[in-house]
Amino acid sequence: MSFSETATKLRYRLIPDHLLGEILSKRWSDNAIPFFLLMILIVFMGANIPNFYSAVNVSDTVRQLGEFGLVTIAMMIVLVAGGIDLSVSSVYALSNLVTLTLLSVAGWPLWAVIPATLALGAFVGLINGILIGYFKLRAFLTTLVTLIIVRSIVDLLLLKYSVKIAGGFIDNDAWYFIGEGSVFGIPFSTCVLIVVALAVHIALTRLRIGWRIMAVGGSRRSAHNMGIPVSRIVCLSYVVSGFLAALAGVLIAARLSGAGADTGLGLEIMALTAAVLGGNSLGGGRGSVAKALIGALAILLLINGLVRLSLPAGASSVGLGLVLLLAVAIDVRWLKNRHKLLSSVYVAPTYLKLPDAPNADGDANSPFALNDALRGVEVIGLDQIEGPEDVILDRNDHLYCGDRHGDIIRFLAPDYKTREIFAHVGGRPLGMAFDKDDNLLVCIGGMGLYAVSPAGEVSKMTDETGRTRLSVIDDSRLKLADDLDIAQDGKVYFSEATVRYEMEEWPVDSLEGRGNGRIICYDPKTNHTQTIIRNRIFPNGICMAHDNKSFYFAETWAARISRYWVEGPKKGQVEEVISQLPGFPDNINRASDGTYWLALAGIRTPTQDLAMRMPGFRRRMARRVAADEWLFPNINTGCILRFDDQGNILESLWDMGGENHPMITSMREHKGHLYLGGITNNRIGRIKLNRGDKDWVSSNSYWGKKA
Amino acid sequence: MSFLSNFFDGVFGRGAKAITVPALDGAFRPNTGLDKADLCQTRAGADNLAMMGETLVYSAGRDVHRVDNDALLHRFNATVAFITEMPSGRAVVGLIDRSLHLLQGSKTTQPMILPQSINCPTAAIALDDDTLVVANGSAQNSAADWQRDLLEKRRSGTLWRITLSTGDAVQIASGLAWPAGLLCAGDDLIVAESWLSRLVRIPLAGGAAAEVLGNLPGYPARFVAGADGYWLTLFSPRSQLLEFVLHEDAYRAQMLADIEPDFWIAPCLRSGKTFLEPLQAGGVKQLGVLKPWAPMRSFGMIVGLDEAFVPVRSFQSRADGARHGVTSCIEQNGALIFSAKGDGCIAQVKLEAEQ
Repeated sequence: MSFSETATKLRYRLIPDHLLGEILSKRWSDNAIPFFLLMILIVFMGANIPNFYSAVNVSDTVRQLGEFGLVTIAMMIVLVAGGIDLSVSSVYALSNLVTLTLLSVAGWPLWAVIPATLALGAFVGLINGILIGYFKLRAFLTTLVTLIIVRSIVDLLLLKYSVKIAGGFIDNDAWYFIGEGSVFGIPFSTCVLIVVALAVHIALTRLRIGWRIMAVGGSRRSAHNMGIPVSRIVCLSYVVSGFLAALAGVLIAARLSGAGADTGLGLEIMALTAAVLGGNSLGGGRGSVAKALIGALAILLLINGLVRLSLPAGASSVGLGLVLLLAVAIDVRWLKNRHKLLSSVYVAPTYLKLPDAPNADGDANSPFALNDALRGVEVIGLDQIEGPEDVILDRNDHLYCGDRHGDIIRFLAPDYKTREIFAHVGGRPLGMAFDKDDNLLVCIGGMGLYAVSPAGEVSKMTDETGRTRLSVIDDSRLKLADDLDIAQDGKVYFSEATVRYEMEEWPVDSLEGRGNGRIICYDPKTNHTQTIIRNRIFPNGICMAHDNKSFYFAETWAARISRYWVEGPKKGQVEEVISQLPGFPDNINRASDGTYWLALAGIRTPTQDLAMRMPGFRRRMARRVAADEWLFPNINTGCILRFDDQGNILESLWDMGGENHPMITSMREHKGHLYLGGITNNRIGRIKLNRGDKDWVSSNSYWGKKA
Repeated sequence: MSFLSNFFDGVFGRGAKAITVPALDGAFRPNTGLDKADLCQTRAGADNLAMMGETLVYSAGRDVHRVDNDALLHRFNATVAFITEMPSGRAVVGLIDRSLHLLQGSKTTQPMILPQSINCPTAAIALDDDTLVVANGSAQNSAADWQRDLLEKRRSGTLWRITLSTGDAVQIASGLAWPAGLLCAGDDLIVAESWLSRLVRIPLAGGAAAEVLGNLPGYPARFVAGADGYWLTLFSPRSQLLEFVLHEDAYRAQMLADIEPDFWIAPCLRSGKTFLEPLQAGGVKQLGVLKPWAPMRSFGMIVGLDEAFVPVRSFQSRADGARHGVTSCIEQNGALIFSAKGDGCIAQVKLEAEQ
C-alpha cells in the first residue's frame, strides 16, 4: 500500500464525515446560526460594555426576559401556525393597564384580577382568530387593525385612569412577589417563562394540538386534506397568543406598577424580530420554543447593549431593523438551500480496500469457473410478482415470497400456477424464515420484524432496538431489516443493512463503504430487542449453522462472510469465514448435505473496487454526478455459491446470459430443487439439483419432522 | 484570479470543471430509428462502408465484402483502418500497418507504405485520383487504443495530404483531438474531432481550425454527404460519469495503469458484454428490464445535418437497442445504409418512410 493510500485510510478512519450530513438532517440544526449569532453578541457586549454582566444587570435582564420571552413565544406560536400577530404589543399594554386599574381603582382582589385580565387578552386573540381563522381575512392586516384599535382603547382608558392609577397604592404581598420576588434566586417572571416555555414545548413537540399547529403552518391545504380543522387551529393560535401577551402584561404591571402611553410601544416589531432571528420561519410550519428563546435573549441583549452604548436617539431602532432584515434574509436563504446542502453532503464515503477478487473468468478448475448451470431454470409466476427478495417453502411445499407492494404472496403446490396473497404486511418484505410453530417470520424493510401465522394473521415482533449511544441520527427504529434466522431457543437473529438509508435507496449505501449496518437479536420470550453486532458493512443474509451453535452472516459491500457464535466456548465472538468473494453476498441458506447456499447479488467490477479505495472520488461523484449516473456495484449479474462449515467454496452456479433469471438475491433448497429469488425480478426461478437429499425440507432441518 | 476561479470551479463543479453533457433534445430526441432499420448483413467488426464504382462494399477486420451479397472481395494482411471511394471507380484501402492499397473488384495493386508519423490512420478522403487526405488519430496511441487516447486527453491528431503517384506526404493540420471523419467542402476540409465532440473546418491549404458544429452528445466518427445535407455518425455517447472521470486525474491514472481496457469507465462500441464492466445506477435492471434511458457506455446514433451543418434529425439505438457503435454510413437510393461495428451488422433505414 502506498503512502498516500495509507494517509487516505487514516484520514477517513479519524474524521467522521458522515456526521455533518446527519447533523444537517436534524431539525435542531436550524438553531445553529441563531445560536452562533447569540454567542457572538454575548461575547461582543461583554467585551465592549463595562459591567454588562454585573449581578444587578444580569438579574434585571433576566426579569425583562420573563416578559419579553412570553411575547416572543406568543408570536412564535402564531408564526408556526402560518400567521402573524402584530397586536401582541397592544394586548400587552391593555393588560398592563387593566390589571392596574382593576387593582388600584376598582379594588378587585388579586385572585380575580389576573384571570380576568388573561381572559381579556384571550378574548382579543379570539377576535383576531375568528376574523383570520373563520372569515379568512389576511393575518397581517387584521392584526394591524387590532393593534391600532386596542392601542386606541388603551389611550382612551389612560386619559381616564392614569392619574388614579398613579395615585393609587396596592398593598398586597403577593403582588410584590410577582413583581420583585424570586424562587431559588430566579426572578418570578422568569419562572413563569420557564413553566410556559416547557408547556408550549411539550405541546408543540409531543401533543396532538402542537402537531396540528405545525401541520397547518407547514401546508394549510395538506392539513385540510388530512382532516385537520384548519380554521379552528388557526383561531386557537391567536387565542393562545393573546393569552400569553396578556400574561406578559400582568408581569410588567407587577414589576413597574405604572401605566403610560409608551408601554409596549414597538414591542410587536421586537417580538417579530426575535422570533425570526431565532429561526422561526415566517412562512410557518417551522419553529420551536428554543428558537424563540434564543431570539428573545439575543434581541434583549442587543437592545440593552445599544442603550448602554448611548447611541443617538433612533439609532437602536435602526439597529433593530437591520437585524430583522438580516434575520429574514438568513431565514429565506437557509430554508431554500438547506436540503440542497444536505443532499450534497449526506453521502459520506470512506476508505474500503477489498481483498483481491478471485478470478471468476479464467481458470476452469476453480470453484468460481463460469458455467451455465442456471440456464435451464424454470420460471414461476412470471409477471405475477414484483421483486421477490427472498423465497421460502413450507412443509406442504407451498412457495412464499414478498413483493414490493408489501404483500406476502403464496404459490400453491404442486405446480405453482395458482397465486394468492397470503398476507398484506405493508413495507417491503425481505428475508423470511419459519419458526417451530410454522409461523412465517419476515424482515420488512421500513417496518421491522413481523410474524405471519399459518392462517395469515400479521403481528409485529419488534420494530426498534436500543439507540446507539452518541449517535446523531436516531437509530432506534429499524429502517432496513434485511434477513433473519431463528436459533433453537427461539431467539431471532436478524440483520439491519444500514441505518443511514431508507429501503428504496439501499444501493446508495454501497457508495459509502462504511459499517452502517448491524445485527440484532430479538427474544420472543422476553420481548426484548438488543443490538449484538455493530458497524458492519451492509450485513445481509443470516443463516444458523447446521449445529445451531453459531450463525453465518454476509456483509454485502465488504464481500465477506463471518460467523457469530451464539453458544459454546467462543460465545459472542465474530470470526471471518470467507474473506475473498468475487461478488456481493446476499442471502445464505442451508443446503441438504450440511453445506450452505450463498447468493451473490452482483459481481465486483475493477472500476468499483478502485473507487472504493478512493473515497474522495466517490464523494465528489455523489455531489456532482446525477444519481442515475453514479458508478454502482454490478448487481445485474449474480450467481449462486455453495460453501461448507470451514468456508471452502465448493461450487458455483452461473447463468451467463441472464436471460431466464436476471438477478439473484436468494435461493432455497427444497426436495431436490433450488428456488431462486431476486429483488428486482418479475419471476421466481426453480432448478432441479442433481445432488443432495431429494426429500429434504428446510423446516425439518431446523425443527424436526412434524407428525 | 484564474487560480481562484479554477479553485471555485473545482469546489462547485462548474465552469471549466463542469461535467454537463448535452441533453438529447431537439434533433437528438430519443428514438429507435436504427433498431427499426432493415438488417442487410451480419458480420462481426463490420466497419467502413464505401462505394467502389457502382458497388457498395464494407470492411470488417482484415476483409472487404460486398454489401449486397456479402461476397468476400479481398483479405488483407492487417486490419482495415479505412476504405474510401476514388473518382476512377476504385477504392483506396488503408491498413493499420500503414500500407495503402488500391482495390478494384477483388484485385489490389502493390501497396504504398505511409510515412512513420501516420501510426494511427482513422479515415481518409480522395480529392482526386492521385491525392488523398488521411487523418491520423493520435501520435501516441494506435487506432485500437482509442479509449486510452481519450482518457489521456490527447490532442495529437494530424491530417496528411498524400500524393499517390509520388508518395509525398505533407502534414496540413496538427493538434487535433482524434480526427475520425473527413469530408471535402470546396477548398476546405470538414473534420470530425472526436474527443472535442465537434466538427471543424480546416482549409486544404493549411490553417487554423474553425468550429462548424460543437457540443455533440457523442463522439463523432466518419460522415458523408447525403441528398440534402450530411450524415454524421456518433460512434459512442458522452456521459456525465466519463466527463467526471476525465477531471479525476488520480483515479484515471490508477485505472489506466491497473485495469484492463475492456473494464474501464470509458465509452465503447458495445457495452454490457461482461459483468466486470462498470455499471451505473440507472443501468440496474428493474423487473428484468434494462431501461432505454439507462446511462450508457455505448449507443448508436446517426445525425442528419442540413447544408449549414445544423442537426435536423437523428436515428438512434438506445441503451436497450442492438445497433450500437455506428462508425460509418452512406446514403444510396433513398436509403441510409450504416454499419454498427459494436453489434457487427449492416442495416438500412428507408428515408422516405421516415419522413
